[in-house]
Amino acid sequence: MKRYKLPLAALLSSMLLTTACEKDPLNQVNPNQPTTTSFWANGTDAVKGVNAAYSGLQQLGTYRRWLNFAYDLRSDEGFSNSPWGELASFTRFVLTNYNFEVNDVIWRDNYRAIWRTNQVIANVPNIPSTAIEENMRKRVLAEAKFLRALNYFNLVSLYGRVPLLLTPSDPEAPLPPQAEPAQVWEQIIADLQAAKPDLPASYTGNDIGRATNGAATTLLGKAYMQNKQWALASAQFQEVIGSNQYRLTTTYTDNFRHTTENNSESIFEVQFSDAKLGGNDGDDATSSEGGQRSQFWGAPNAGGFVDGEVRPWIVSEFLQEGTTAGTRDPRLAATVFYNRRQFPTSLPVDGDTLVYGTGFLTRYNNNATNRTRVYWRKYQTDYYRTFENFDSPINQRVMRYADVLLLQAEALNEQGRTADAVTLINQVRTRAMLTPLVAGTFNQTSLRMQIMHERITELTGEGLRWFDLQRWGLLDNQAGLDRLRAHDSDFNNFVIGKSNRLPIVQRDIDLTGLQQNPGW
Amino acid sequence: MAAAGSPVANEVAITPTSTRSPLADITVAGRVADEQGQALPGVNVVVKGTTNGAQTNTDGRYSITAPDNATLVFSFVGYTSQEVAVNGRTSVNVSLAPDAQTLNDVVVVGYLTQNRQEVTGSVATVSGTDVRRAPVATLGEGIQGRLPGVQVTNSGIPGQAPVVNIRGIGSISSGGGPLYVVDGLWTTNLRDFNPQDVESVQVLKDAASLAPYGSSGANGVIIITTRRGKAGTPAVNFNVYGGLQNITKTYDLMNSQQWATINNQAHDNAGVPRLPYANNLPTDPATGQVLDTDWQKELIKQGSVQSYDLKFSGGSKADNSASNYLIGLGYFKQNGTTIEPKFERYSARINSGLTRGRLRVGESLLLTRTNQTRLNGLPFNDVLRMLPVIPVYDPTRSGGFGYGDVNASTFGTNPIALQKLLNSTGTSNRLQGSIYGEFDITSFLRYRLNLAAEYQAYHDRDKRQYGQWRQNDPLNPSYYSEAQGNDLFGLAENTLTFDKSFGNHNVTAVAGYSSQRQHNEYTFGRNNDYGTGPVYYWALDAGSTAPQVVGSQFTWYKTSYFGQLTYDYNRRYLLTAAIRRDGSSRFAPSDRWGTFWAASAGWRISEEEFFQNTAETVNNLKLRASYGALGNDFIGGAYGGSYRYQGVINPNVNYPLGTSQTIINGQVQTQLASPGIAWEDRRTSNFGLDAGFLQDRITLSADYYISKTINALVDPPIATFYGNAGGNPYQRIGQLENKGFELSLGYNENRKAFKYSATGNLTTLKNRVTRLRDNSDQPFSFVGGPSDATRTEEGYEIGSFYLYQMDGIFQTADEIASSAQPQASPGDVRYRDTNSDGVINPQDRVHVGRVFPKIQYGLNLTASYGNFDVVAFFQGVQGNDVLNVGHWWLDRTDDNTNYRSDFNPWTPDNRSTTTPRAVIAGAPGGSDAATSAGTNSFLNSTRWLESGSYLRLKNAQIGYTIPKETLSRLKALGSLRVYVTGQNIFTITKYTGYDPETVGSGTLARGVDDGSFPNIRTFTLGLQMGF
Repeated sequence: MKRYKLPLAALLSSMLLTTACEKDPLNQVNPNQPTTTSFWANGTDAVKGVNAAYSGLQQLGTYRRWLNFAYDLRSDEGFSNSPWGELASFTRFVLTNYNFEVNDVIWRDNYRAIWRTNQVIANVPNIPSTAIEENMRKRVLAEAKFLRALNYFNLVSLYGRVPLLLTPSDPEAPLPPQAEPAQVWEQIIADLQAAKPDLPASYTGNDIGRATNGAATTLLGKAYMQNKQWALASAQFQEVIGSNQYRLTTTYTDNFRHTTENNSESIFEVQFSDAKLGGNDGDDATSSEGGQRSQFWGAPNAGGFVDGEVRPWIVSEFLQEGTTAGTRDPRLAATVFYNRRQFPTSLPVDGDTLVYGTGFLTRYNNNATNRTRVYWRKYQTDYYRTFENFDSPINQRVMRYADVLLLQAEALNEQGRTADAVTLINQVRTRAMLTPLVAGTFNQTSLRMQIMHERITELTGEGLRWFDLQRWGLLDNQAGLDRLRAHDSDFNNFVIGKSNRLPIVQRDIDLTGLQQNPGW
Repeated sequence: MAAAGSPVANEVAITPTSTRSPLADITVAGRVADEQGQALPGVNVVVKGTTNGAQTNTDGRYSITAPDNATLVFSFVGYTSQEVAVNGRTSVNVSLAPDAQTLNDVVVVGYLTQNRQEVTGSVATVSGTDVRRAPVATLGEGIQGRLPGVQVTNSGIPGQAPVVNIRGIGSISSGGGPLYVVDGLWTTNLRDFNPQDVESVQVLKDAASLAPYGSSGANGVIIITTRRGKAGTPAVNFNVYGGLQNITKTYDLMNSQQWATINNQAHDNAGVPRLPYANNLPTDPATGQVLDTDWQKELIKQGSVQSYDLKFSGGSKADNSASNYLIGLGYFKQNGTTIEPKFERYSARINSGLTRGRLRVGESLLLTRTNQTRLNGLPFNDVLRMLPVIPVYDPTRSGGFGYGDVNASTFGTNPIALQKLLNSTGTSNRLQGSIYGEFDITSFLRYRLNLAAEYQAYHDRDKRQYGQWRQNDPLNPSYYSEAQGNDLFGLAENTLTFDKSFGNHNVTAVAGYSSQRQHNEYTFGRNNDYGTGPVYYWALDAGSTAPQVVGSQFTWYKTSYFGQLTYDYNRRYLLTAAIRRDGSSRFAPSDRWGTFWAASAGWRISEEEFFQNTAETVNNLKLRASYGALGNDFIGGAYGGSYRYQGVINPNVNYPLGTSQTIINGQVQTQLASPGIAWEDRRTSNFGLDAGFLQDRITLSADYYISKTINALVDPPIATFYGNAGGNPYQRIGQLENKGFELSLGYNENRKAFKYSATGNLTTLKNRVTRLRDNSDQPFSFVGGPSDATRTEEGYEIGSFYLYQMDGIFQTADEIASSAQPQASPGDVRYRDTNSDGVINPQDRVHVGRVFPKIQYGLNLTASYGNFDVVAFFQGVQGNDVLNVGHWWLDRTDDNTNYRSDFNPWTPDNRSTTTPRAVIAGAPGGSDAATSAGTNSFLNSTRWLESGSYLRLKNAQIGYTIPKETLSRLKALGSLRVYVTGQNIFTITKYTGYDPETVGSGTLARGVDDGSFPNIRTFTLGLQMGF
């Protein structure tokens, strides 16, 4: 055996050499994607990163689908009679499975969006100044902070005590703290204050739709409002109003159509597009960029699932007064599809409400139940087509100028400046062809009630009512609850001290020992 | 050289001699042929009791001088030797039969070929004859039940590859499919392989046998050898079979009238208005009769199977050189047993080889093209969910098919519409091939180079016509998509083999180096809005809105060094050892290399001196044991799991911006990386026994094994607030155990004209997750299946059922008052309050039932007499449970579905103890009926758990070989055998669903029959022709 040792070794080594002379093939580089270590190299990466953070707003658990259920259908404006029992129960404050898809996905997708903003905020400062323009660095960081604030704004309003993650997610690192709501609000305010100076007043071209100074200022004002810090809030709103960047559109419906997006009234919109028709949820090259609210809340026999409906008292609220021309408030038909002969009013019956091209009574002639229901029209696509699908192109207006005017009116009224408030309200009323209010006829309390009415007629179905109910304390005491129950029998299930928050997802409680919200 | 006790048929080394016997009287001549009448060259012809012998020439002819009362012994490798008395004849023609035992005699273990007698690991084999007997598309179906320790489950979908597991499941996250080695090519896909090409199949199960395969061997290896040409007159063989296929068992469902009665009852009990079409049965406008759709009948049809296989083969043999070739052409076609799906395969095989002096070269090549029309959705659930009052076709609906509405509400899908409106097809072109060259450097040292490649190019198309198939679906526009891709795998192995005996010390050693590389490319395009028909132009260009484009590629690479050693002393004491070091590009540089090894020992007691007295009865007895460690680097995820250790940026987190809503590119990390991943480590101990009695007429092989996977890669749930999208990070935190006993027992009698054999095998398996936690935290669990009906956690099987326990039906208010369900009503299901906390909630679910069969078994019976041959093969499993989702759909009553015709829910006048009252969901909130509808219909309850045991006559065949005399009139035909085969002929089971043999719903829910396509019964008529 001995004498074969040498040739054997030579043969073996030559075999090895022939295959081993190339670069080590065990180091395979992913040809499809940059790695986390190679990315964040320059200004282009920074912008792409923050674009992805915006995309976090278009997910199922954010504005694409479920957030609308949590805000509009859980409030007394809307309700659900979905055949999906668990979904209907969710909107009725009944939830036994805290991992229920809707609750889970809202929690999940807000945090997914936050992880993205945290990546931007952590990595963009490290990009060498030779590779990024300093103004761009500031703007991108400010956009990310605005977006992080918006996501936490939603989380704290829905869940209360939430884990506060401010750096990129790392399951191996110590657990993030479960913050008190006040801490979360502090963070929101800090992020917005930091963002404001670095955000431009407006954008041009393909940057239209990004967070502006006005958007950060408005959101900051709203944060103060939710904490009843009226003076601080009205300072912010005054900045917005005084900036002369915004004015109400002539036509109310311009605010809910894809043909008039990012208009003069718009402060911040989640952008949706139907360019990826039939695309999947999530984020890849084929993912849909559309909204789904119109499919889920669409009227029956017109392609909609009718998972969300409007409480009829909303219609009555509109019918309390007519326009200067003696007609019904034009915002009513823009907000809902309804049987215009059903509601007692002295106002004349106006033109037939067309439901996807067919008159309401014609379409529901044979169905006594459907004939009495009130369906959502705001954000529905009936104005340009006869069906719904999973890819609505209509941007969701998260913040618009009419809301700012009414919030400022409220903030001023709370500070005793009732007359100043009336002027602002009248801007909104005038567009709706309503008679202007007369300042002298209101005191602080009566204007408070008037503002509540104005917000219903102007803003129903825009995801704002839930915040209003929280701010006005209607969810905190029996008197408030009784008022809501008169509108919405779902509130019979509402438990004070419990139902104002959603339960924290059970999985995260099991895995990390988070504390559940009271009552759940 | 011949080992004592081994059959003569194994030995070819008897040298022809020219020594003439002084007693020679006459010259005997003749022809030796095989069972098909083909000439057999190289057959040894020996005068019994002497060394006087001869060999047949290329025409199978021999001539020998022998005493006129001599007995001639004809022997040849692979054939049963035959003794023929001369009785003064000068012409003796002989036909040799193949030896069924032969395949057991040589086995391939890693890089070595060993005599069966000397194997110390756990290896099972099945002959090509048995595999080829099944009229099936894939090899997996052909070996089902024939090998102890190998679990094959299959469905009746044309063109689907069966699920194959060897010795249970050793990995939670990466599945458990074995490695197939086809003539030296490593592959994991055998769907496109033509089972008619198989010569033999061999399964390696223990660490000792698998260690040479290192990281790829953890889930077992199936070695497939394909047929090759034999020396002699070129052979032309044509085999054809064709037959019919049927689904034999369907549910006996209610007709419209019966259905309406129960459906109305369910609505009345809930206080909900009746369904309009249940209250007033609709009429079929065509017939004027009550509309009464039999959905099963509409879906299920008679299927067919046909196979054609033409082979040309031959070879030559001379001193110091030989060659062989085989050219095969095959066509297989299966028309499904439900509307639409079908599968066809064209295959061509070219195998050849030559030996010249010290050089051997061989090649094996398979080219296939397959065309498949896929099955869409879960039609075997939908036929139960669709109501008899819904028509299949409804011209008033878009697309022209009926589906639910307010009159007859169901969210089931019209399965006919789904197949007709969505045409999903795939074609695949595949090459599987290998070339080897082997050179004897010296008499005891040889070098071998093995190069193998697999290339697949596929093209899938989805043609979605306009129209709806389900209530409440959005009105989707028509669309068309194409996916194309290709996958190239290459393997290069260099080995050096040392083989020498030193006295009674026999040593074989192999050292080698190999590298493997896989490269995958994929592109996908889709376009929408192809109009509303009826004419569609299915080109990507022809769509009008929102085209989508996707594409990717990935590469992984593996480098390995290995060595293998066998040593024996006097063929009596046997030792083997193997080691393999693998480096995988799937892991980070620091975790990249893994070393896998095994050792085994055997003791052939029957070779001992002291045993020779009993050698007549016990001719073989061997004890063996092995232990070793294997690895696994297959993890799931994007890009074939190739880059999971790296954090990557998702390149398409896009967002529309600007006045024209341009979609702007966004990029960010959306999925957490798995930085700590490395090899899974599977350790197996094996103890075995082989015995042969009465000259191997009785053979016995038994194995007991314990296999433990440690450091199993697991992707446990992490807190949602980390925002991870896609699969969770893998961690090495799992431990699994598979234990089992395997037995194979055969009796084989082929000494007389009436030949028969019986071979049985039996396998037990116990699978358990022994650890599922990281170092500090509480244990994890994974849920699986519909309604989270399974839970995988420490102490239980993978995919263990986790269910509420049904505990009868409440009959009285008193029973309810004393129960944990105060809101129940008489007639509702009572569940066991397992934690006695006074409420029924998810905490009352418990692990129950068994996913893996306690026993699986097979019994193969063969007999032949004269020209007739008969085979019957039984196969079954015992002691497992199946969660029958179909049963749930039929009996749940809270949702509108059809019902079984003998469905008899509880009523005050019919106090059933097994079936609760019928209550539809949607009762007014807070009412008892609303609660009942919810709790009575829990899918995750033992109400739907049924025994999955079955015994099946898997295969039976009767063949008749036309006698030569009859054939001689047909000059063109050399041999002809006619046979009739049945597959899945009958099944004995208590399972009420379509088929207890279910492929399950993934690794974590393999006991859940969620609309599985049942196995089908096939009867075929076949012809085997030799020319």
